[in-house]
Amino acid sequence: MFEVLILVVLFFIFLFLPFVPSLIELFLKRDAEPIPINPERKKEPDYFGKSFINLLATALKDLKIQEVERLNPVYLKLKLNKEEWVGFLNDEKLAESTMDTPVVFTKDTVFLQNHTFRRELVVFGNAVFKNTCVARSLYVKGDCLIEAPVRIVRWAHVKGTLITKSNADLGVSIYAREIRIRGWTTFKRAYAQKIDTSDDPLVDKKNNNTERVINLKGNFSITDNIRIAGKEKPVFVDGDIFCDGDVQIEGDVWIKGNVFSQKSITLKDGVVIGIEGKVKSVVARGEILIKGPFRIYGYLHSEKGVEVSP
Amino acid sequence: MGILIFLLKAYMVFLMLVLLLYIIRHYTFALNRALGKQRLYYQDVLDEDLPTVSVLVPMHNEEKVARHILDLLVASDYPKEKLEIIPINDHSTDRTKEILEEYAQKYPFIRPLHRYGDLPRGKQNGLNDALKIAKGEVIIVYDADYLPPKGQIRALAIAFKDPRVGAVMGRVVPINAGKNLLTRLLDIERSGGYQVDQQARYNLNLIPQYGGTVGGFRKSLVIELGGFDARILAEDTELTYKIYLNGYKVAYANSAECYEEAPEDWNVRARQLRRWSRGHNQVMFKYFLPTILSKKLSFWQKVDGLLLLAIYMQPFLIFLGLLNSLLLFFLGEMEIASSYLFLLFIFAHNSFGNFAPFFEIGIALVLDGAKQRVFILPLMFFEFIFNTIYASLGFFDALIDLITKRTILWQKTERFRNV
Repeated sequence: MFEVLILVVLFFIFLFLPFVPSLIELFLKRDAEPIPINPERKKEPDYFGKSFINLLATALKDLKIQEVERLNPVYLKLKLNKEEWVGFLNDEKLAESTMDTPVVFTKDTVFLQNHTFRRELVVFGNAVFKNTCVARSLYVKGDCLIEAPVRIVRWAHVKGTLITKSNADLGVSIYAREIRIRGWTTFKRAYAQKIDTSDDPLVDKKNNNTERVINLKGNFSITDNIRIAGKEKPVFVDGDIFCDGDVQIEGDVWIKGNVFSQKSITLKDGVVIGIEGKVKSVVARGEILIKGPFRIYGYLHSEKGVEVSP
Repeated sequence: MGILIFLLKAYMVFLMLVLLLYIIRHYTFALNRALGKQRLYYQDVLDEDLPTVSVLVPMHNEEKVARHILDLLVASDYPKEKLEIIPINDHSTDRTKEILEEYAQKYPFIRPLHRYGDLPRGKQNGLNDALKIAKGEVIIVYDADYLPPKGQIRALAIAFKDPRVGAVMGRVVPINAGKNLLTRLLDIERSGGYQVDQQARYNLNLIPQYGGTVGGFRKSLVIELGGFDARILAEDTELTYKIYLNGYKVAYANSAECYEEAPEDWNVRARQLRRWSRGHNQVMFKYFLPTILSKKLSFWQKVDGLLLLAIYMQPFLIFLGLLNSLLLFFLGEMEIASSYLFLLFIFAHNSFGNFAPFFEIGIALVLDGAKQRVFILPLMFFEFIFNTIYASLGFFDALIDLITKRTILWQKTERFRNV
């Protein structure tokens, strides 16, 4: 009788054993919160720079410091995401070769020495990089000229014009009013009213013989690869291109809408994307390769990377 | 007697083959989501030339939730000159009408549609009437208990830049996940359904489903296709098939996440599930043959489309299989096939097949970073039994609808939110 009882008890123990972890989780509620969704969530290309500078401005406001530009060299303990020291400098020579705190240069700054900024680098003025620099992130209130190899790990936010004349790895996200790329440059996302690789007039600014132009009207959705070449005659596409395969566009081609690919996109030798004054995008799941003269009014995005060789 | 036993055995073999197809389907989806290439949605396309949008919010006695969704829609970052909001007040007897009028006075882009009198009730009827007055090129639909984030209308509407997109679907997340056992089970079920199932179908160019809320469609296309069939309760599933059979596709936006209120009561869930099953099976009866014969669908889209159509019939088939196996047991006829290979197949099914949907949910929870929730998975066993019963009842309802052509009444899901 006892053996039967033991067997029955064992039977029920093994029957309910798989449910024990479930019941523990059900009663302890260790992971019962809903999956977080940010109600404010929206697509903002200047999100990183704007968020950081708002944090900095709020922290300074809390200290009742209004005019950052006039601060003398000083280190202040500010509450950004956490409480930390922030250096406010007015001379590049005051910065060590490696800086571990966020640094704010309070006026126009020319970087003549080699620096590694392990945290945010802020310039409240124009910035010129004449020597190799690495920064986690870069915020420039004026224009920014890169004349030596620069590497940004996360984001760059330039309120004025960003010009790269040397090799530059600009990290995950760039935002500027205008971006002029004149040296080999890589990044993942870039947004500006105008991004170009050449000062030459391209197909949208040339006096094209309208009879020679091939006009394609409407939006296009392609399930295979596509190649558009404007080598013999200029090609104007009056809409968007959505493609499941590779996209290759070269020569005098003006796409007035967006270009989107589930693979890679190559744009070279004179391609123009978008219309001045409007934001349009080039988005790819694979790489975006840009070679030679090129211009876009708007946004470039590839998580695999955008490589620009002017 | 011999013929009966043969038929019973043949049914078991048929059921095993059907279940095998579903096992392959679930594993393919789970593995694709975990290891495969992920298809890009359009959320990264920034474009100032956005389409005009009409947001439709079907409402029947929604005084508990109406203000919440309207406040969130008003806060949307979509350009207001391109946006109109049409709450569809469908025979409400509570304060819904007054609330909508109050918002309409305040915001000119909110234009409520009040449906009373002889107008037939139901979401499909409301949508059909709203389509007649909607000015937007794109229609976005939210159920009244949903809480859309600020940038969601833009994230959904941008998909229609692609001329092949006929409809778009976002991801549904229960806000009351931790309330009780039912909401916890529904929460992980939703994770598996969206994070893995829908995304994998989008990745593999199969048939991601338009779900009737947190989603939208091209107005001109739906009008051209004759609007919504008032006799079909699952207007969303029907639209999915109409779209694919006419050469368009559904885009799935996994990042367009939106909170919903999941049922907190088993009776409410039972009614909801039965209604879904009924509607889905109505669509199955209507579109099974057109899906097979379609020239617009690829082979794999047809396979996925048929399996998706039969998904709410599957519990009924399993239920029949259980009865069948009991009969065979008492008749002493359990030896269906003498081959050891066949036995191996049955063991393999029991070892892996039953767990295939569980793997989908497990992978979804890992992707969501909600690893502790995996411990809830064994309790899905009870929900599986619950689903089998009510989905089977829904199948019967659809069968009776098909035979008798009876009038179909819409049943609203009860809300639980405190005002």
